[in-house]
Amino acid sequence: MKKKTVYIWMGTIAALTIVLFTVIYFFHLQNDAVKVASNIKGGKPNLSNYIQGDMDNPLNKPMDATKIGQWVYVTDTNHQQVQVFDISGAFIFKFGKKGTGEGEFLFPYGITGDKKGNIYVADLYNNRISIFDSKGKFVKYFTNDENKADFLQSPAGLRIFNNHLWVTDIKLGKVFEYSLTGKKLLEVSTAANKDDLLNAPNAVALDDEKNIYVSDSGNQRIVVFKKNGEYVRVINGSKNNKGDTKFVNPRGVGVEPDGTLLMVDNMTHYVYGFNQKGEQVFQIGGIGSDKGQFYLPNGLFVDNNGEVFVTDTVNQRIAVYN
Amino acid sequence: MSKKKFGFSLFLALIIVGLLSTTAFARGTYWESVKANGTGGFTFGLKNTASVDQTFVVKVFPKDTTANTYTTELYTSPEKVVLAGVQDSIDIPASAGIQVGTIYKMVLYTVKDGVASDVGVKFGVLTSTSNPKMASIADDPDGLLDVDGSGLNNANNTVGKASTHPTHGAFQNNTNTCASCHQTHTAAEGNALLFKDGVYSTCSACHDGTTGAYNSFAPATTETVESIQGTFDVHGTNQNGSMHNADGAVQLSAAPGGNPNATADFDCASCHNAHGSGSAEENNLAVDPAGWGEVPYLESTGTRSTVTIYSGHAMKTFNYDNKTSPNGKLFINIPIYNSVAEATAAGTASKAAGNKPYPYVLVKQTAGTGNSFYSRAGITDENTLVIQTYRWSSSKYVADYSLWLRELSYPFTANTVLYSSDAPTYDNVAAGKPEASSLNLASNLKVVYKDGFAYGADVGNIKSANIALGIDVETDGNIEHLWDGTVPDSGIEMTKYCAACHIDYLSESRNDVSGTYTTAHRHANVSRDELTCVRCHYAHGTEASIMHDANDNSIFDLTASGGAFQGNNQGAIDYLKDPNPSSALKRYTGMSVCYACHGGGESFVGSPRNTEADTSTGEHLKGGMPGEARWDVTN
Repeated sequence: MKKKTVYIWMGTIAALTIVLFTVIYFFHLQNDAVKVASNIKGGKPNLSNYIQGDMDNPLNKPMDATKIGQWVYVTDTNHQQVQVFDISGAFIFKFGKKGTGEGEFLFPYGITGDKKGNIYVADLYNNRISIFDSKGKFVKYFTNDENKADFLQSPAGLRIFNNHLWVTDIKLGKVFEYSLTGKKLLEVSTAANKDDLLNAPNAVALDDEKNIYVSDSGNQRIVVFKKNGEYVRVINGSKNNKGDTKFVNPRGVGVEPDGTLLMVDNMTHYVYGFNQKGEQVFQIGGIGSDKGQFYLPNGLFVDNNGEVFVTDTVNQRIAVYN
Repeated sequence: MSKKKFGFSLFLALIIVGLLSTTAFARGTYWESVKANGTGGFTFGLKNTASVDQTFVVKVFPKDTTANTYTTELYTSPEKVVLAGVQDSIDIPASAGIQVGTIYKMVLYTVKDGVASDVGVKFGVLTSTSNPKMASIADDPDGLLDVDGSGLNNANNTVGKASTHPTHGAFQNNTNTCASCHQTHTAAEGNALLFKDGVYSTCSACHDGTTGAYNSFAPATTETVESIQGTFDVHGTNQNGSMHNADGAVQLSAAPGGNPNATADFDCASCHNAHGSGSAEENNLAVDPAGWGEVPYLESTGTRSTVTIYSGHAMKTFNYDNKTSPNGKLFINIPIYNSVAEATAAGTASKAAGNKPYPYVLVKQTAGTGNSFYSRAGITDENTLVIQTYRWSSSKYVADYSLWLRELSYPFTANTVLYSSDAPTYDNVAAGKPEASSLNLASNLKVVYKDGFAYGADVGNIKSANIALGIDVETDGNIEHLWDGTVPDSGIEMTKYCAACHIDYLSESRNDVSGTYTTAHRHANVSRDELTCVRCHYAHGTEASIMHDANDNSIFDLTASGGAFQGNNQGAIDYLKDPNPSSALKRYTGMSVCYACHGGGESFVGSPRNTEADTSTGEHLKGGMPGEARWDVTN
């Protein structure tokens, strides 16, 4: 091969690489790239480590967590703040304080992030969703298309999927899908039949086919909807999901890359796994403070490469699984 | 036939069948959805699938619950023309007369040449006054939720199958719910089989606003400021908040005026019973606060400074280990008298001798007339024999309606038993089961445990009794009813409830040695509903944003249009912030807690300094009691 040909090929490879990473950087495709590169398919999570906060800033009732970029953001609810850690659990910084003003919280609950690295935090008591930049600086409130920030009554679970914001409202008994500009796209449920009725929904998750999984806490079940909001079925831990529910206060939900549904059952202190038929395939945890146990776990987040984060409220830690 | 032709024919046949099927099942219109519109009415989505424009109306018929029919037309919507193939909707506004809890039959009609033809029927019911979007919609009435013929049950019952895990009692015989909160062998907190600090965490897992159940951490709202309990969500420095720190971090001994030897942790379960309570189910107040009903009363004599304990026991702790205490509420072989006069004579004589009168006794009497508790129990004959609890109050015995505790399972301690024999004794105080000598209650004696009395002919045969007194605070959600007589005796019971820990604050218990003497002011007679503790204090916690001023104005009144701090939230907070070192869980800021009651009195009426004006009328110097309507004292 001629030297010139080699240079051309090398230059082309370098140029394509630069173009690829430029596109990834400017179009915020980092998470998608990680997902494409990942070989992890899901299944029963294996405990990796705990995020516990440092001695000066212990977590107090961590209700939810999310991973944005390489940082883990945790709603440190009883401290009315958000704490930020690296994946090893090292404290990076925190933001927020008790209050009702901008950048302040009363009951920070659901937390999620967009592709620009902005952090969205739902405040159950302040009745607002606050948006912060990745450094914790308050940017603005999330507003609907009427430019109202208090358009919900009690926002709880919060997730961004496919550039759409999903939020549960406990008092309204609803789950909403919004565009990031505040346009309402979907409302679940429509109360169209006796099963299609939510009572204190605490969390929402979507799978790759955009099926919607709602943790219907007050009714002790998970309700599955199609992407258009049409009711599909209930998952309640019983045989064929037709018997009495086995759940007590279901909370965080998430879907692993292989489609396994994970759910935190707060008052049995377990995390359950379900296959795509809604059959329980494993459980992890159990009441206690030892390694692998939970005491009133609440939030659950699955990142794009299948890492699972579970907030363990009374044990004041975040369990990280891979 | 070649394969190609055969395949093509089959394909063609499928298409034709599909087309014909579509045509066969196509309708001129259909309901797309029916839902509550969020403003007290319904919205009907529909689509005109006909090839021509059509006119639609919706008629609404409420259910006649007596005849179980839907014949009376309540509302007809304006006619609406929907273009062919177009989706549209028709609104039924709240102003049509839609009521929460009423089932409506809603019929869709097409109108052609003035003739209406029904094309579809739906049934719907709004299920919540607080959530106008909450509704149940079905094709027929049987498909609706929670309709028992009279209306709706609460939203928590919308899915009956969720009842496997009731939290506050009524567990099923195959329950597994205990394990949600208790550990059989590895619990950190002994008797209760709970995790260390498990009570607070377990309660707040649901009661933090995340389940739709009562939120004990609710921020200031117009509801919070009118509540009995206030909130645990208090702001310290900015609003001088104070609260009962119920997370298990302190012991009961921390209660001002309380027992210095009370070592139990103070948490939610110190006041509330997670497994259900007496009649006040909405507040789940424990019927045996601090466990006094398990502690045998220790009779004492002498003045406070020279008290003598008969039994010779030194009081260590007041519950759990069956130690006796002068504040115990388990009265073994309680004195029984045949009249109030006889009882009072005995108490007066005891007092004259320098002894403390027996705090509670039983009196046999006839029912008489005008007693609402007796009427409620079904006593209609005024000559009916009644045996009733009486308590010593300053100089006489007065009727007391504290409930009699029954503990019919292990450990059998706090139990009330009536005997037909003289001076029966427990075989074992700690296992005080009813004995064979106890009366056959089914024969001719009805025991009203809830209100602390029994009636029937067998009252005459009662010769001795062990009475375990509990507390049943009847509430109905309206705080005023604790002191205005609507729920008789409830204010007194509430006061005794607080005094279970704040022993020395209750005049009747301040002289026994189980409390810590304080110089705190006591209203002279706390044996009246009117002076119950919660008239001036919240039970959970307070802060400026839920406090009131003497005119009963909260931040919501002050910042409203025409209020003294219209639109000025911070100004109202500064005004309502208690200036004292502790806001002491007060309902009223500063010493307006006094002024709120006494401000309508004669000493303030003529004061030229008082320029307070009524916000609605502009009239000056309104008087009145907290929670009551104000009156114009200048009239």
